[in-house]
This record gives sequence, C-alpha cells and structure tokens, in this order.
Amino acid sequence: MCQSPVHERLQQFFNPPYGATLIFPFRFHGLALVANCRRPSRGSECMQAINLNRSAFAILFIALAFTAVGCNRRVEYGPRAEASIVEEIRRTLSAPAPATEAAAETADAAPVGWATIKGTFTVLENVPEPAPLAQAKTDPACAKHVVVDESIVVQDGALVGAAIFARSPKLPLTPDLAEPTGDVVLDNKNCRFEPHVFFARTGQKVLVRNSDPFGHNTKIDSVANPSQNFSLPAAATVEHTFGKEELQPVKIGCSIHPWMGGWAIVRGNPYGGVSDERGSFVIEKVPAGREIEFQLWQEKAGPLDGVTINGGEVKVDGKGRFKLKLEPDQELALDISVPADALK
Amino acid sequence: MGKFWSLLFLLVPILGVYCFVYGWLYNIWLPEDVSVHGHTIDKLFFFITGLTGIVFIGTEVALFWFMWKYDRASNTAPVKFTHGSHSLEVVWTIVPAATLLFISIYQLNAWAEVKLESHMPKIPPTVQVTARQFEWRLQYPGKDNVIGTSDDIYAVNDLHLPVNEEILVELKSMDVLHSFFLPNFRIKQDAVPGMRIPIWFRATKEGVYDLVCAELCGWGHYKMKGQLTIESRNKYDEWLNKMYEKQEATHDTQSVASTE
Amino acid sequence: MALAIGCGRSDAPRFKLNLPAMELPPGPILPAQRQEIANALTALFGTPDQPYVVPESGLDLAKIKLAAGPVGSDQAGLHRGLYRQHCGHCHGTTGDGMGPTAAILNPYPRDYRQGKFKYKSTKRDATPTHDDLVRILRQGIMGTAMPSFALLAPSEIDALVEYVKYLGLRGQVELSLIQAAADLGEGENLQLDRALLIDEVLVSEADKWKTASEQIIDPPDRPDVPLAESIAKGRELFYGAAKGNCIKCHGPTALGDGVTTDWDDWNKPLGEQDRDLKLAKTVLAELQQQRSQAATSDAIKELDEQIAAQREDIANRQSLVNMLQSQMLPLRTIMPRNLRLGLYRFGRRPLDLFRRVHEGINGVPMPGGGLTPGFTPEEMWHVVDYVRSLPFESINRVKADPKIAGMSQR
Repeated sequence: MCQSPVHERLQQFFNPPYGATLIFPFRFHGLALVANCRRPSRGSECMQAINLNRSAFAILFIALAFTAVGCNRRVEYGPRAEASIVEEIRRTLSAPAPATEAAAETADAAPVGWATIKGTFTVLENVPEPAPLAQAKTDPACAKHVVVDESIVVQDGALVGAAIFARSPKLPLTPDLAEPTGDVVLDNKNCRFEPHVFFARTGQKVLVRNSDPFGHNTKIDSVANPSQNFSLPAAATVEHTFGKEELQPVKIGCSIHPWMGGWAIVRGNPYGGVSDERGSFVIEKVPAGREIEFQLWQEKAGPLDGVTINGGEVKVDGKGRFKLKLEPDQELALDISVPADALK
Repeated sequence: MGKFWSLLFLLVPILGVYCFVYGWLYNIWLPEDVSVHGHTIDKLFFFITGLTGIVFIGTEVALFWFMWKYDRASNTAPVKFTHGSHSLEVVWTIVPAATLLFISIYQLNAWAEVKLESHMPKIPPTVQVTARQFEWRLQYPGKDNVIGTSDDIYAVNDLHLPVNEEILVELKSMDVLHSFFLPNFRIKQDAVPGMRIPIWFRATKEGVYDLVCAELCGWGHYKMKGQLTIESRNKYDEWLNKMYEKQEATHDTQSVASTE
Repeated sequence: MALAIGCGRSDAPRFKLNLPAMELPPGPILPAQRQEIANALTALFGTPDQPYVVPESGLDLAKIKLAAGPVGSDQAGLHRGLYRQHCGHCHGTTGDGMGPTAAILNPYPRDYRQGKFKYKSTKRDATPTHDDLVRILRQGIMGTAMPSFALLAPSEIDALVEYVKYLGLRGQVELSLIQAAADLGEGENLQLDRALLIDEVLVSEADKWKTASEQIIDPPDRPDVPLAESIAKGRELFYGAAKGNCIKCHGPTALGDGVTTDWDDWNKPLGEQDRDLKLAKTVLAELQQQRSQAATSDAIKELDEQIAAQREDIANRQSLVNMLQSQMLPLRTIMPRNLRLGLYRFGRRPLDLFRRVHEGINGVPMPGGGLTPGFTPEEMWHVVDYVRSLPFESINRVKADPKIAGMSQR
C-alpha cells in the first residue's frame, strides 16, 4: 500500500522530466556534487554522471526497501469494508424489524406424526489404530493408562463418536420431550473424558464427574454460553447446564492434563445423537411431514462431507448436510458410509 | 556585507542577556523552592550562571568587535600572520583552571549536605520508591516503621509526605535506569537497578508538586509522571490510615471510581 | 526519506479483521463472507477515526469519540485521541493486543476482542464492570508492563474504559459473525439485517457488558479466626491435593515452578496447531522408519501411500501454522505466578485475592474454588490469608518440611 507513492517518486528521480532539472540544479556524481547540464547528449560526460546517479539511487532504493521489509511486520488487515454497503446496512438497522410471525407459525405448526431414525456410521477402508499420546506418559498418575489420540476411532469398521443433529432449531416436540429428560454424564476417568463426544440439549443437566483418584479440571470452551472451568477433586461431581444453543461443537479440555479432550454437541432440540462403539445412533420422535436439515460432524473432519448415505439415495452437500422428509411412524434406517479420505 | 554579519552576531549576547533578565524579572527561572537545602543549590546555580554569563558576554562582544574591525570589504591589505602571545595563553589557561578549582571547593558543602551519607538523617526510611517502566511504585513502612513487613502500605504515582520533617526516601529501580526528579525540592537522583539509594530532604511548604522521571528510560518515559503531596502530619497520618484500610478491605464499600 | 514521505501519506487507520479466527475451525471462512463480516462490523462500529455505535450496544458515543481518532486537541481545548496516545502502542488500534511494542512485553498486552479479561470483581466468565476497568487504569497491573494512569482526569479514564468496552464488543460481535458464517450452507450468504446483526448477535454480546455489575462476587464475612490459625489452615489447603491443590502449578515452594505445559486462551489456537504439526512430523518419521524396515513390496507400497498422505497433511498444517504465526505474537506457555514476590496483579486487598481464589482467572488454567465441590468460602478465606503471608514466610521452612521436600514436581 505504502509502496506505490514511493515508487512514483523514485520514478521521477530515475527519469526526470527536463523541467525538473531546474528544480534540482545539482546531481550527485559518486560522492561529488556536479553541476547539472541542461540537455545532455547521449554518451556525454554529463549523461554518464546521470547514469551513475541512477545506479546510486538504485542501490539506495534497494537498501531502503530492505529496511522497510525489516521494520514492518506484514500485517494483513483483511478485506476493506465497502462504503455503499455499509451505508445500506446502517439504513436497514435503523428501520424497525419486520414481523417474523409468519415464520414462527410454520415452526409451531403441529406435525402430522412422528418418526424414528436409526443409523450407523461405517468406514470401509483400513484406518490406523489410534496412536498412544506420548505426553500422557509424562504424568505419573496417568502413565499407567494407555491414553490414545481419539480424534478418529474406528472399531471393526464402525466409526465411533461421529455426531448427527438437526440444524433447524425451531422444531415441534412431543409433549414428553418438551422438557429435557435424563442427565448426561461427563466422566473424567482414566485420564480421558468418557464419553469423548456427547450430545446435550439446552437445559439438560450435564453431570461432570471425576472418577479418578486424583484431581482434574474440566474446561468447557463454549461460545454462546459462558465458558466454564470446574476444578474437580477426586470423586467430585458438579452440575452444568447449557442455556443456549451452540452453533458449533464445544471443546472440552483439562488444564492439568492438556492432552485430555472432548466435545459437546449442544442443540436446542433433542434430535441428534453420537455414534456408539458399534457406530450406531437412534433419534426418536422426529417430527414427520416436514423437511428437516441434518448435519454430520466428526472431530477430525469437522463437518463430515464426502460420505454416502444409503448408497447415494440421500444427497449430502459439501458441508456434511442433508435434508430428510419423514412419513409418520416411519422407521428410517440411515447407512452412512464414510470413506477414510473424509476423515481428514 | 561584513558589517551585517557582525551586527547579526551581536544579537546573540543581546538576546541572551534579555532572556536572563526577563526570566529574573518575571520569576520564571526556577520552580518555587520548598525544601530546606534548596537555597544553597539555587545560590550555586546563580553564582555559576553569573560567572559563565560574564564570560559569555565578554566572548560574544570580542567576537563582534573582531568581525566589525576585520571586515573583508574595508581590509584590503595583505594578511599578516603572527604566532601570538605566549603570556596571553598562560593567562587564559590559569584563570579558568583557578575558577574551576574555586567552584569545586565552593560547592563541597552543598554536595555533602544533599548526597553524602554522613549527612543522612538517622531515621528509618519514610517511604520506598521503586521506579519501574513507566510508573513510581511506593511502599510505606506502616505502623511498625519497617519496610518489607506485612503491614506495609502500597501506592502508585501518588506520593504523600509530611511537611517540616526529615524525610528519607529509599530509591530502587525494578528494570532500567530512571531518575527521581523533584523540581521543587532541587532533587534529582538516578535510580539504578540493584541499588538502594537514599535521598533525604525536608519540605517547608504544603502543596502538590511534580514528580517526574529525568532519565530517558524507554518508549513510555513521557508517561512516567507522579505527584508529590506535602501535607501536615495529621493529614498525612489520616491518608496513610485510609490507604491501609482500603488495602485491607474484604468487601466493596464504595464505588472505586469515586474514591480513588 | 522518500520512503518516509510515501508512508506518511498512507490511508487512515482501520480495524483489522480477526483473521486467525477466520482461518481456524470451524472455518475457514470464505472470502465473500469475510467481506460481509467487514461490512457488517464497519456498519455497526465504524472506523478508528470515525467510530459509530448503535443504541442497542449500550455504549456512549461521546466518550468513545474522545478516546478515538488521532491524538490532538479540538477547538474547545478537549484532548482527543486518548487511546492512540496511551494504549494503542501496546494494545493495537484494533484492541488485539498486538501494537508495535507488544511483542517485547511479557506478559503480552490483553487482546480485548474476546471480551475476556483476567482481573475483575465479577464471575469468571463475566465481563469486568466499568469500575473494574477504571481501577485497572488507575492502579496499573503490577508484574506486567501495564502502568498506572492515576493522574489522568477522571473523564479521560472514563472515555478510555468506554473505548476498551467498544473494542471488546466489536471483537465479540466479529467472533459471533464468524460462527454464523461457518454455519452457513454452501452458496449461502449472511443476512446482514436487523434480525441477525442486532437481535441475534449484538444484543446478546452487549448484554454481557450491561449485566456485568450484577455478577460481582461479594464474599461472605471473613471467619472470626485468629490470623495465625487461619494461615495454618490455608497452608494445609494450599498443599492438600483434595481441594486447593495450588502446588500443582504454583509449585511446592510457591515460586511458580509447578506444571507449565499449557497456553492461555489467547495463545492457545497457535499452540495447539503447532503441537499437532509437531505430532504429525513424528508420525511421518515413524512411517519412514517402518518403510526402511518393510519386507514385502505390498507393505512398501502401502507405507508409501501413507507417507505421501502424511506429507500432504504436514504441508497443510504448516501453511496454517505459518499463517497464524504471521498474524499472532510468538507462542508462550503460561507462567504460574510466583506468590512470594508480593506482587498482586489486581490489587492486594483480601477482597481481590478472595475473588481470585473463588473464581480463578479467566482465560488461563487457574481454576476457581467457587466451582470446586466442597470448597467452602471460609476455606477460601484461609487460603487468602496464607497467600498474603507467603512473601513473609521463610522459604527454608518449606525446604525443611519433609512432606513437601519429598514431593515430586509434577
């Protein structure tokens, strides 16, 4: 940015218009100052002097360029805001909000019935066994456990810890699901989080427990909800609830044992799940008769795309999303086949 | 043209003297002296200023006179070179040497009074001042009069001291060279990392005075400003008590913004 | 000189986008969405020279204008540009804690953009109150490069605090928009309307600042126990693994020589990516080792494929780490406080220390006793008393204690 005016200036130095010699009546010739000549002819002594000057300035320029590079961290600022669009946004912001009742109505409309989704995540190719974490061995209390990197866990072709959840937040609920049922337990056990990935509804009780005979802490890096850091002495349990839905899975960690990691999928509705050790999940009482968008997620891959569902019957987009419209009382089986390439 | 240059150079002593006299007339020479020892330093200052002022005026006038007399336009005769005068050289060497020797002896008392540790009052330090980029950290000894115990009172940039009492400041630096400068007390002492340097003085007048750093200590040197409040013993004790109470607070009593 | 003239005519300063957050998971955010976020942020907050706030932010534009813009006085003699004069060189124009002098400081200056502050009177995750920030400005932070601005006029301190809140809120809104952008489907755009910008994002982020004063920790009265007894009890808790377990990080000597393998939240994204890159490199080395010992041609072929895949993975990670390194300050691990110096960041009042013990310190591993089951406020007061006595406790006492001397430094 700051180079272009400099460049222009140096251009003037290198190729001065003849008028400019009136302003600069002297030129540097090596170290000596020589009087200028008005209209130098090619090959004249004066022209040679000017050429020498040019090379001197070239060296000076290179030196200065180096200084500039040395002094300035190249700071990226990101794209510049577009003034006209900014004005437009400000105009829309000062206008009163349009009524959104129409949208709310459709969300609350009673569904024609309820359906169940059962599915499995399978990986056909060979995936390397989870590697033991060297860092865990440095801790005397944890050295006796084999702590592995759980970012990809495949057991007998089943992908463990992959998540599926409904993206649309405003979905009707059966009366028995109106309030969250059952508690989720997040256990600090054998120097790892059990479960490694869990699904929790907003308002659902999450019992954070420590089953190890030594202290842990559980750090929940939620974004929409206040982040939390529980200090857990041996055998302690604390309660935690997420008040708001989290757009992205929430990372869970332990500051005492930095390699410990886990994930929480926090959604405003109960329509989601995490695959168990057989790679399977069940989502019950899903509203039927309307299109619902689902998201697939896996720790290593993030949004899980490039998968095939029921042999290509259900189209999955590049963000690991697909839409389903269920019939009442339907029991839909989803066979999600994940190529090893998708887990990167 | 030559006359012009000589007249121009004559302006230097005239303007110089004008500044000196103007400063004197309007009392903008030195900030108000509110310390007991300050007048000896001021006396020295004015003595040396007077002495150098006389030499300055003499030199400038001589310069003018030579320029005026030996102007190129009116001196067309060939220039004659001369070796000079041996006795004159001896004189202009001995006179300044003697003057310097006199000054060095004349100032001995003033120096001893302010800097020599044998003149240091035999009292425990009133306050420990720790210079740090870019602030003054202050630590008062508290009730037991010993610095470094659990009842010390801490403050920053806001130095309070009692009037008409011997004051012993213990100066430290946490990082680089700083200089503890109290213009109204004629005190300027470098703070050197790793050293505890005593400074003593006695204030004669209540008021709020500047405390500044007089050693370029880094990019934030300009913001290293403090203030010194000289107050009566009662008010000073009251202030110390208030600071101590605040420091021992176990509850929010008042809004911080309104009290500090 | 030509260069200086050239640079002197550079554009008006502008806010920097949070590019590391846009690059990291759940990103990367696409260029079109980055442009949208830049537009939305400028619409909501203006530029460093021309700040702007919407009423829902709860910020006072008059105060912000006093702190913003270039340094100088206006016609009424009001001093302006306070932030750039006093704060910008460390905390940066954007409030990202990356001003020109930031890299030479330890600890680094605060990055306001997450709305996350360490020293405050409120709950761990809450934002500080206005008074908390005023106090920080007046007192400075001992043990850091943050000096005291006690001699600035109260109105100037007020303006600066408002500006810090403004920069914080701007950064929080940016992070929320990044989350929203990451959640978009393919080919979708952010709807930069009132529903998203104000109702969904700004109001909830601004509420964090507005409700801060409701979340102040007011401790119960200190138990009526003689100080010596309280100190002794605090000492037990400090060394005990059950509740305090302070020695885990602060060390058996309390010199801050315990475990220090973690990063603070501001450094963490870079730390984790850097760690994963190193891990990927060791995996590659292992694979190469295996290949050199492989017997069958099938095994070699398979290993070659794995090695190629691993190399590609490393290249991707390396470019991400390079990008982060160019946009962030050099990585530093956390440093547990040396409690024997008697330097207390947010002040030495028992009240301040109680709040630290009760809530921990946001953004760093220091946990809060208030979130530890079975840790009572009385016990926390004992810990406070012990910590306050630590600078005056002889270190020989610790070294002579057989129970502690035998303790391995984990």
